Amino acid sequence: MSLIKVILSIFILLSTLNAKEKPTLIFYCGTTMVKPIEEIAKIIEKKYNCKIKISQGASKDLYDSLKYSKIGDLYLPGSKSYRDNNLKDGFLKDAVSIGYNQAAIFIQKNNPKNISSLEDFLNPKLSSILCNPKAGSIGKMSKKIFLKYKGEKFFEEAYDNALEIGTDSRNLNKAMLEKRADLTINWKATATWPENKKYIDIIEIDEKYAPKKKLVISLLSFSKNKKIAKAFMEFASSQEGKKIMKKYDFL
Amino acid sequence: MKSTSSKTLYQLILLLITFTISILLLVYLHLVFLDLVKNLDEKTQNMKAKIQIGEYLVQDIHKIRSDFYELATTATNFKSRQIVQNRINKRINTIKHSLEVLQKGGTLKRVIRLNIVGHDDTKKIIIYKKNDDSISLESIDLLPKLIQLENMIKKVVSLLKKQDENRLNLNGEEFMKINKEIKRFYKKTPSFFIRITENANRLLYEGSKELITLKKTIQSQKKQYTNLELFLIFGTLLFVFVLGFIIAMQINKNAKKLERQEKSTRGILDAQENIVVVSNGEYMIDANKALVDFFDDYSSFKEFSRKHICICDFFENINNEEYIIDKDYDGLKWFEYIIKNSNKVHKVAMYKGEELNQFTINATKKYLDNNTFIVIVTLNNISKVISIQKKLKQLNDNLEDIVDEKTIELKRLNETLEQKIKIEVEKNREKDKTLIQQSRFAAMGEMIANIAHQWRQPLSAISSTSTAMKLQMQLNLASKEDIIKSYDSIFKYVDFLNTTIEDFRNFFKKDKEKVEFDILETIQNSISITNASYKDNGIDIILEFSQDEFKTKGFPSELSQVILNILNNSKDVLQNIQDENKLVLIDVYKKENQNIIKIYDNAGGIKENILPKIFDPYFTTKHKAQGTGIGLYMSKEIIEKNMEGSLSAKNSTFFVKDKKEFGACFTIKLPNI
Repeated sequence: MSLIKVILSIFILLSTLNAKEKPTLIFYCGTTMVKPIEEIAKIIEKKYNCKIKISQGASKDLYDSLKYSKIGDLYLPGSKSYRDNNLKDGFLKDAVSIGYNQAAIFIQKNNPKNISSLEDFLNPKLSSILCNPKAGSIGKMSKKIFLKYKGEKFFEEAYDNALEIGTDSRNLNKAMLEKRADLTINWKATATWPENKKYIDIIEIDEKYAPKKKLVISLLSFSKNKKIAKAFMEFASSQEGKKIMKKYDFL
Repeated sequence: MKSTSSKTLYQLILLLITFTISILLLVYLHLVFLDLVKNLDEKTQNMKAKIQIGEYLVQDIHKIRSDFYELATTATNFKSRQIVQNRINKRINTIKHSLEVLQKGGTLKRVIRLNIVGHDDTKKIIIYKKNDDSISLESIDLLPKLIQLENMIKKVVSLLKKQDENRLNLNGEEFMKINKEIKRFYKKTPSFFIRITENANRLLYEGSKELITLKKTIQSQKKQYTNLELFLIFGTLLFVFVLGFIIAMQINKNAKKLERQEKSTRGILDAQENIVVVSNGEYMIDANKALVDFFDDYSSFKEFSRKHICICDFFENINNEEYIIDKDYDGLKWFEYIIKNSNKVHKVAMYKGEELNQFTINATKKYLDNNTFIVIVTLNNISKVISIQKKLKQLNDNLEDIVDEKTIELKRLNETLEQKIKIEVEKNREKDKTLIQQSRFAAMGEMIANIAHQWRQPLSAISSTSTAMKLQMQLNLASKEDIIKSYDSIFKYVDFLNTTIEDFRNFFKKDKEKVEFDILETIQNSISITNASYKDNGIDIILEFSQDEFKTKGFPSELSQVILNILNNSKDVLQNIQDENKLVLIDVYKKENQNIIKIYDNAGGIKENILPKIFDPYFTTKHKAQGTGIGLYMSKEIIEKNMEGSLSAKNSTFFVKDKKEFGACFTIKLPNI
């Protein structure tokens, strides 16, 4: 055993004894955006010697979590409306826009069931999955699309006809991948990801029903690591950050 | 030897210290490691507790889900729904408590039902410690969902209640509407329960992951520690071995050296004719060969020491205080008495066979350290010396008579000698007086010769001027101006003659007491006396001086005599040399508190073999008619005794007008005032 190895061992042993806790940031991130956010988080962790814990889930659930616990640093829902609607609570402070989401109809690869439009969500012969409007941002978006398309009745019938009600975009894609569902409405960006691309095709929805939704990171008022949180926001909105967002089709 | 043994001692101490430090280090490391492992074990236990809590959470969620569905299915009346609702609320509270333990740390008590007679249930206690500031995401995720669940239960109970009411009121349409709403509601619940279960599962997943990491860390740290401990043990052993080897080598070297030294010491001791005995004050430790030689009944010291613990066993009492015997000397042992009275001569008498031998005895005490000492006893056999002394005494008695006779004879001779010496001293004094007289006469002779020289030229000028004037007057050719001119000329020469006479008179004037005078003036006078003689011989006198006046106290005429003497000597040598550039340089300067006069000539110098003798009286290199051999002797006497100065001579080079010259150099040093 070389002397260097021994010295290294002693060093490791001592450093273990004297290890200091790194600052930990909590990032509430809508499920859809987890991938690029994880990539950015790694860069920030390295740069600021910190740990970033990502709490992923449905945008509404995440807001409930942060509101109830009053712990955390950053919040990124699937749509800007979550920020706008909750600003009155006073928990959401500075914000930066980092990209956008747009909904689309997700169908099985090569469209074996010849699905063509939103009308197919009422077809009882098809198995559809829709997101709970009270959980994920895509649920809220789906409800808006149906309401704009043909009103409340259409929306209720579409949900009644749905085989399953999911909580977020990941659940929806999972159902598609497992072929439990023939169609769904989900965020378009996720269809281009390698793990989904092989199994899913999309049908665009007219922008008048499915407008682009801004993705906005908000700084939380009770953040204990504001400096690093702001640095995260700055980086995510920079050219470098946008490049990452673009990689996952959020731009 | 001392430094080598110290070195070995230091090395041994170093070895001990190193060994102790290494052992202490090992013990310390071991303790540190045990502490570390204990902490990690505690963390592991904690993590296991966390996982177990997570498992209970998942179980509780599943139970709640089951109860939740029971609400709308098997619970058909208010009472049964109330029971289910209470059960759900109880479970929600249990989950809340579990989450609180996860958040803050604490004890979780769970009752596990059993199907054993006499044991309906058992209690499971889980203790979870919150060690750091880490945030439990599970709690953050789950708590709002529990609130949501409570709201969902309220909503479903309310819907069921409405449905019951419509059923009882036979309001079919409203019943169906509410029924549809209940179905829609229930349709959304699976995703809720899936999500809440996922969140709880996350706790299990991350806990298990963390547990694996912890186990790996423990394993890796155990390995590191083992390696470190092995290295330390190996390093210590190696170091101890190396140092031990060095020490062993050192000890071996020292032992050999000691052996050599012992042999050498033994050799030196055995080579001694004296008997040397070493004792520790109680018994003999060692002795040299001379002991066994003397006591020839014993073959070795070992044998001797077996029978006698002290050499004093052999000390004979011959009734003489000077002779030491083995007795008490006022509380002192015999050797202590010798040591205490080391200024006295102590003796012992011992028999060798029938013959009584006498020894001088000496004892020395030497401390080996603070408590240990040795006594070295040396016995010198003086039997022969005593015998010789006796014979000498007899001879001495005869010799004293002879010496007395011779002393009287010598005394007589001595008295005659004293008278002879007195006569000789008186004769010498007379001789010295004659010598001084001679010296003065010689100087006078020189002076007269100089006067003759000085006067020759003016006398001949007076003679020729007066002859010419007489002739011109006889022929009536002389004008009055010519006659006056001739008289003036004669007066000038007469004045010169007068000056010369004055110079000589001054020279012969005996100084009665020391006066202050200018050396330069005396030199210049001396030059003027001898100037004519020098000119005649074609010798240049150059006088160089660094200042205008060199004051001293003494007899100027005597200094003049010295300078003239030196100048005359130089002239005598130079006149025999065939050289066009004959010269004498007189250099006068002041150095520190002395006036220095250096008189050089370029006559080639004094031969080295005679240089040391030139100041001796009656030493001369000149013909007897020319020199007396006392000039320089007298000069030295005058300068050194009368004028407190010094006169020396050497051969030296000197420069005149950048030309290098070589010859004798006389240096006169006189005090400056």
